[in-house]
Amino acid sequence: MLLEVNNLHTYYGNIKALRGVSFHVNEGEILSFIGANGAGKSTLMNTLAGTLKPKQGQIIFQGEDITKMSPRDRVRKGFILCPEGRQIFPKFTVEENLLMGAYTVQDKNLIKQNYNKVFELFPQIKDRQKQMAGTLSGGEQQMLAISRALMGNPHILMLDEPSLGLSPILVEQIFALIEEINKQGTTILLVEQNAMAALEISNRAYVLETGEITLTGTGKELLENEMVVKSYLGG
Amino acid sequence: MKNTALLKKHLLFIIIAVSMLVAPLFTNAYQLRILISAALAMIFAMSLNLLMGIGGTVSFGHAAFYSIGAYTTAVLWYHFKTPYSTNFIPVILITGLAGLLLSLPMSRITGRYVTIITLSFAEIVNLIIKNWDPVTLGQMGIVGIPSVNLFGHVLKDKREFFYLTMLFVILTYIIMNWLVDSKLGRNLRAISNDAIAAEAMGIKIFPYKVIVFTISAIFAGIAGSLYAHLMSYVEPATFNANLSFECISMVVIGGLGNFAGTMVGALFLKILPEYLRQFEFLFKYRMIAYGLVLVIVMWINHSIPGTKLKNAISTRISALFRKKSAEAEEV
Repeated sequence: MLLEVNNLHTYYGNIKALRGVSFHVNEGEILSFIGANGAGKSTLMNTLAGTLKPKQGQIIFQGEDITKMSPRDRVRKGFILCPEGRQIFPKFTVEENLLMGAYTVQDKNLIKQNYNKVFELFPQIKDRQKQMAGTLSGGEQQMLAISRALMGNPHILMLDEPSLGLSPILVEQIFALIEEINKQGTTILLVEQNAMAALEISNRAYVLETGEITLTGTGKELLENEMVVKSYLGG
Repeated sequence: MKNTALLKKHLLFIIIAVSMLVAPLFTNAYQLRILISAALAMIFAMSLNLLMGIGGTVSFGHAAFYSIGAYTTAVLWYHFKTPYSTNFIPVILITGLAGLLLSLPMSRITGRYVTIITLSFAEIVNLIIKNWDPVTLGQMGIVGIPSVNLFGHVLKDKREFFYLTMLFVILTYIIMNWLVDSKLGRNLRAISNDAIAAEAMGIKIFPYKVIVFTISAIFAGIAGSLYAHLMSYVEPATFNANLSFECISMVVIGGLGNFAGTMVGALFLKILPEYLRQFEFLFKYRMIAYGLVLVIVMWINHSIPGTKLKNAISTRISALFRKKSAEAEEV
């Protein structure tokens, strides 16, 4: 087991956003969380990344309790979040954005290696290395955000709503790339409102509702589940 | 190749610095005094530009650090008769500490809360100065502060004082540019670009906020300490909110993150009102003229995007909605 989360509770002031979430992630899989607006998906991601502190519960990564660890040390361990809403640095060039992603990587050769690997995955942004990131299109910005996270050499890559605000064709492209990244050996933790696209590429998935896990199964099982179809797939 | 690029980047600074350094050959005492106050404003405004242009925090209370610097050296002189060269270290320490204090809440807040906290910080500092009679002499102010004394050498001549100030201007410019190009500057820009992304990349926000506030405060404090010795008296009324706003104007006119531009802004806002004084008919309305010129300069600078005003408004509105939907989603 690569990651184990036990009974996680997170609050915003007095508002309970996560009510005892427990799950595990296996090495090499794509795991996704689906749920409606306000289900606590982003809260879960931010708690895992360490930008939010849980009131209760435990996060165990590779056998080590990281619940109290700073975001920076989690990134160092290869536990990397690609935040929601294409949070790139708009006034940095594409190149600078990517190098910021390697902030915690010390090995210069590894940085170079990752840099080239990223462009193999995303040839679209290769031609734009010297361009300000803010001038990229929405899809390119999302690709840049994912590439930047890859520069940190992730063991688990957490993607928060990678399809947000993208056209259907781009969504398909992005998800194909996520599968590709996974095949190259990165475990993926995915949070999505676009349940169909997420479930299709996931090995396993959890359904999150008002801060609690209500359903779990393989991606295929959930795609056929009556309740999921009704609430999330528009069936 | 690299040298010419470097020269090009700093050309404006070199022009201003050289012309200011030779200026005292042609000026009378009155004009020299204006130049000194412009040079002090340069240090002060450059320190704010580090905070605004690189750190992404608009401080509406930068005068607080200026006044702390001025009062530190004045109080030390009044109570212990120590010369400027002795007071210099305490000036740095105390203003740095004040900057550190103000930075503590800054990694947790954004937007209007920053405005409120920086504004009130300046008011609190001013109130302390006004009321701490045994130390600061309160409303009366401290009078008779002698000119700068550097290790026994007293700068009696205003020209000498001017060159000392210019030395600090040049040092400030070099240090600021070095900071911006360093890892510190890059991370600060990343944080002001997007704090969430920076944190997700593993940059700790808190220490960088502390560092940028501390450094900015120190330079503002140095400018303030020189001011105290230039004017030979300090009183609380001098260090009001207007001083902070004037400083912000200098930074805005020069352009955020552009330190040579800030120097132009400081020169402009210090010389222009004095220049307009000589025109009989303009003298009456000089504050209006001063305001008009300010608007025009900002217009040219695209700080107020006149033609893009509609764009600016629509981005503001869409940003507002984006923020709201993001907030709704997170819960």
